[in-house]
Amino acid sequence: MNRPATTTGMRDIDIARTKLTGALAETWTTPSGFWGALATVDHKIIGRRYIFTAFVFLALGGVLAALMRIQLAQPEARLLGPDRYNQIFTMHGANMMFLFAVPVMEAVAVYLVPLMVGTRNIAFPRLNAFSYWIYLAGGMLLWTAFALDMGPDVGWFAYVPLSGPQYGAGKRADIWAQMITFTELSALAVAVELVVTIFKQRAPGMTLDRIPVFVWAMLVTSFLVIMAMPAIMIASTSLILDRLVGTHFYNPAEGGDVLLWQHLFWFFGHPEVYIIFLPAAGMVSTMIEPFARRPAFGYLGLVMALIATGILSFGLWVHHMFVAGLPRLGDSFFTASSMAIAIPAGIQIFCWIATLWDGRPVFKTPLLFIIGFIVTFVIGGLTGVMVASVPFDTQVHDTYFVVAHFHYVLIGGAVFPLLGTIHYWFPKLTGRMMSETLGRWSFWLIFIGFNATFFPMHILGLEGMPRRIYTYQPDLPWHGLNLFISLSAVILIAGFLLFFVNVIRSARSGEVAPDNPWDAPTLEWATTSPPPSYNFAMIPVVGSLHPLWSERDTLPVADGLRTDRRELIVTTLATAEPQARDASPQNSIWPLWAAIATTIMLIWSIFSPWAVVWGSIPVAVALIGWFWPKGTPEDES
Amino acid sequence: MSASKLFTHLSIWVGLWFAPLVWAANMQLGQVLPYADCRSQLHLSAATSFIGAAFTIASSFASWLSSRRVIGGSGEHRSNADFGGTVSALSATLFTFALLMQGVAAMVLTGCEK
Repeated sequence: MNRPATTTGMRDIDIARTKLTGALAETWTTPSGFWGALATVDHKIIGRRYIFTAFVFLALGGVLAALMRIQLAQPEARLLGPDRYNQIFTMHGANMMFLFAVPVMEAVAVYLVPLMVGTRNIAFPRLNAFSYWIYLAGGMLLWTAFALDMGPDVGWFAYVPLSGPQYGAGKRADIWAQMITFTELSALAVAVELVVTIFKQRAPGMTLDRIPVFVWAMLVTSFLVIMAMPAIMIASTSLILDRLVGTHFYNPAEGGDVLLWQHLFWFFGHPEVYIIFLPAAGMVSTMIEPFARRPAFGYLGLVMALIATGILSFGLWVHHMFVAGLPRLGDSFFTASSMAIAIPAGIQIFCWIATLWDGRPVFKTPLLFIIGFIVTFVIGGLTGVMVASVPFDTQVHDTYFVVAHFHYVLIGGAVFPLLGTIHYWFPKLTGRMMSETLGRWSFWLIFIGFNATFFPMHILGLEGMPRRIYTYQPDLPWHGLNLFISLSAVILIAGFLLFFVNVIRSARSGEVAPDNPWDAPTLEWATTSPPPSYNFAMIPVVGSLHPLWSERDTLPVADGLRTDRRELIVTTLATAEPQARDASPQNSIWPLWAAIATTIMLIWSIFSPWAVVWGSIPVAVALIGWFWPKGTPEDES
Repeated sequence: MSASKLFTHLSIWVGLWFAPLVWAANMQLGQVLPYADCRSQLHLSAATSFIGAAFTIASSFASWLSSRRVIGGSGEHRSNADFGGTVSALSATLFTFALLMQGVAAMVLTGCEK
């Protein structure tokens, strides 16, 4: 929707309140129809798409997990052959880590952070649209390859030389490597948007000590993404170069180094765990307040723990390489850091327990998921301290003990809070409440099913069952436990199915939600459910950490923004004092064209290095179109 | 931003930027020094860890004292100084703990173990 540029502009203070929302809606609303849907830059629409897509990938990854459990339920089962099994466990890991866990956390932030900091759109909204299309393309690449029997079969970490040119025939490893490029490009884009949004678009008065903990968590996570993801992009790109061009980054015979891959991968891979966990911790710290009916205990400790965890996460990566033959003294440094990181995690857990202890808890479904998270994450954390010890890790390396440990950490530490998050913020996403009865049933099925599925894997690991085997002989002592695990997985799957049924049913016919159904204290609840296209008719002014609790009746607002163009307030970094009024870009189809051009270039470059040369031309054209002035009021500085 | 204001900001947050830098440098030394430790039979890794811990605890104190100075003054944004100083001091203390653990580990091993 292009409008002529004006020099004066209509301000919100010039319009009667009754007409203000109409004027803002005209400026901010995404046009209906197919073209409007493709061109939108509304963070709420893109956030919802991201969340939906991530949950589709979760469901697909769950189907793969179910197939593996059917295969392993009996010794010498013949449902899957070794080659397909290799593809399935690789797809399961890569899908869950790169297409579900990281994107879904960023997706929730794309939707919520602008609302929580009291602004009208995310920073760089066109980049946000681009990031979604790129993410979708990466996911489709991986799953299309799998459907064509070209799915990667080298494990989610694709160790060389297995994934190198010598052993990784065909294009399977290239598909994995290029999927990394897609998803990391997308993740980096969102991270940059979030950092700028949090630093420069906070509502006036939202000083550093008034930022909601979830927003702090996303700030730390975004820095982790920015610092960790380039390592894996370098690794995957150099792997493709080894495979396609004949470079020798990972070929020791020509001066390369196989261990370089492991260092690069895990320098990204361990912070990745915290890229998934820290947002979840932020969600818990934010959600726990309305259900404990008191502010979270130890706000300062919670923020410190997030920051310290983020930094320490970069000093743990070698604990994935304890059997790689590095000097034990060097290993011990990583053991020390791995154990030290338990302290900030412990601080957070004690803060949550103290919040509940001193509050008057209301045991709604989101709080059940929080409690489920605390229980499972503590178990996963304790086994994490165990595998941080070199002698113990050497014994259980590559066994089901490790499988049990990281599922406790990732499902316990991220999926439980995420499911609580969906229940909690569903009214803000859809305008409807989720069913409490179905929510409770799904929680108990998931909690019982999860523990019955994954706890016995510790024992299987201690009994010596290795990871990534497609079958085992009947005389090995693993049969009974494997059958029990597979049967327990049915309960877990039933819980997830019930969750999906609840989501679909509630989105269609759930109870209509009020603006603030939980009596929550953060700014996203100061607007309607779901929020209008412009988020807030007037930008709120924040006077405390819990603005909706401390100023229940009348939240102060800032005025002076133009209504005839997309405009938002830019504030100072530390003290959030108003600094400027800035334009927020209008809808544009160019991010989609740029994403299509980038997708063609990246997929083509799996087959020919010249794709980077010729493929960059349409990318450049799309970027020129993207940034070309359109003569709209938003072009004015 | 004036030089004195910049110095105040840096000193309030010193525990948050300096302590991680010291710890990160020591992590890298932990990859290099074991070979020298093994050859010389000196505990160089332990020494660097303990020296690093001394620096980080000093940065913790510096953050704390700087923030108290701002809070005690009459300037604006005292709550930010309080927040920044406390977060930085606590973070630096955590990195001190990590460095002390690394130092103790380096005392136990000779650097020759593979």
